[in-house]
Amino acid sequence: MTNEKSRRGIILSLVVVLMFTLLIKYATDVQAAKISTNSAVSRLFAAEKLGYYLDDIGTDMRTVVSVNIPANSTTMVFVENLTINKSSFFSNYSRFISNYSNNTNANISFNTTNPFQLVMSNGIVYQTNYSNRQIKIFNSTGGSNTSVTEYRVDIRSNTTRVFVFYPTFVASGTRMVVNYTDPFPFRSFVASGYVNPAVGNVLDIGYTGGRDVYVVVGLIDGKNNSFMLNQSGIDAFPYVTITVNRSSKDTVSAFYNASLNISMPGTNFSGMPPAN
Amino acid sequence: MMATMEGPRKGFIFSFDAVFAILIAFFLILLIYNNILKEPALPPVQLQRQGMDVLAVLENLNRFYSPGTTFAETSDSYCMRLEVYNGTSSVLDATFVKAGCPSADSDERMVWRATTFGNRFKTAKLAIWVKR
Repeated sequence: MTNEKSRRGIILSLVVVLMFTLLIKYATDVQAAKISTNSAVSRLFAAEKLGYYLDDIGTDMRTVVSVNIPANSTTMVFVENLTINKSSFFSNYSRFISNYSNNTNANISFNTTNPFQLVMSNGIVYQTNYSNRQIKIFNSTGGSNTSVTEYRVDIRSNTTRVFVFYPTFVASGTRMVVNYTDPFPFRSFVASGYVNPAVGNVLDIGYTGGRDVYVVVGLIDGKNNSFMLNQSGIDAFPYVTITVNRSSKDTVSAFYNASLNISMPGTNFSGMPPAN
Repeated sequence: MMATMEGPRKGFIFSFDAVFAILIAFFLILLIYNNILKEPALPPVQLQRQGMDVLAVLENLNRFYSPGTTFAETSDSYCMRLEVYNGTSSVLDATFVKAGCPSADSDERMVWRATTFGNRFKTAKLAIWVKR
């Protein structure tokens, strides 16, 4: 009888010890899982923050010059704000971002060079030179921009023009469209036609005092089928919209050719900020 | 004599057993409550994530100086306060608090965003917390 009771006691004790062991194991496993999940979430969040800073800086750049490239489309639309003094803007922005990074838990440095460029994954480059106020679109590989079928520029001038000289339009080639709106409606015009992409085709809008706006399509700086917009001695318009149509439908990524470095716990980035 | 000794010892063992069982039950209830029944606290990263989304929306819609509509579109369980600074200086340009919320909370999380208005630079700071 006594032995029977002892055996029962031992079994009961074993069951209790086993239950406790299982409970402790369960509790430690749950705790470990929680720590592991928190750690994974923190690592993922670092990547999310990196994306957030890239978007933050990209959004600020878009106020200067932006590109809209709808997915699987032949069109690229560039819009540039010409009222911004880019030299002081980029210099101040670089300092601003450096100070801004002191507020965040990240080291961020941002630098640009003149001319400022938008670099597309298909080789097309949009370049704005803020020393001589020249905008150029060309193929970065140095060859001709064979994929471009049309350049269209929309200009809303704040100064009345005196004259306009048109380029020589031909039967086929690259389509050139200049949609010019003058403060004096009678002097507004739309010039459109095909030009030979292997020669420089100049449309000259003249203002008083020998000031001109030149729109050039074709051979520029040794590159066929390129585009240039040049304001000589005049700031005739605050914004410019340039639409580029291409022969092929593809998905294109765009980047600003700025040097951006972001360093923070868990992740780093060094490269160009995305533009689209 | 044996019977009188056996009685108190049994009582003591039963009492000890009962206390032991109550302890185990209490421990189990506590464990279950902590891990299963208790509503998990919102992780701080989730708050920051929401704050980053709100700031991105405000910048894209150009609503840093009129964030009321965007604030109203966020969940009722979130409270937030937006401060806009000139440059990165400590000069406060404007402050906005979500309607129906206190102006601050001890558990608020901060999120920052840089923005430009032409040639002027601003820094937006969003404090976000769970409504009590």
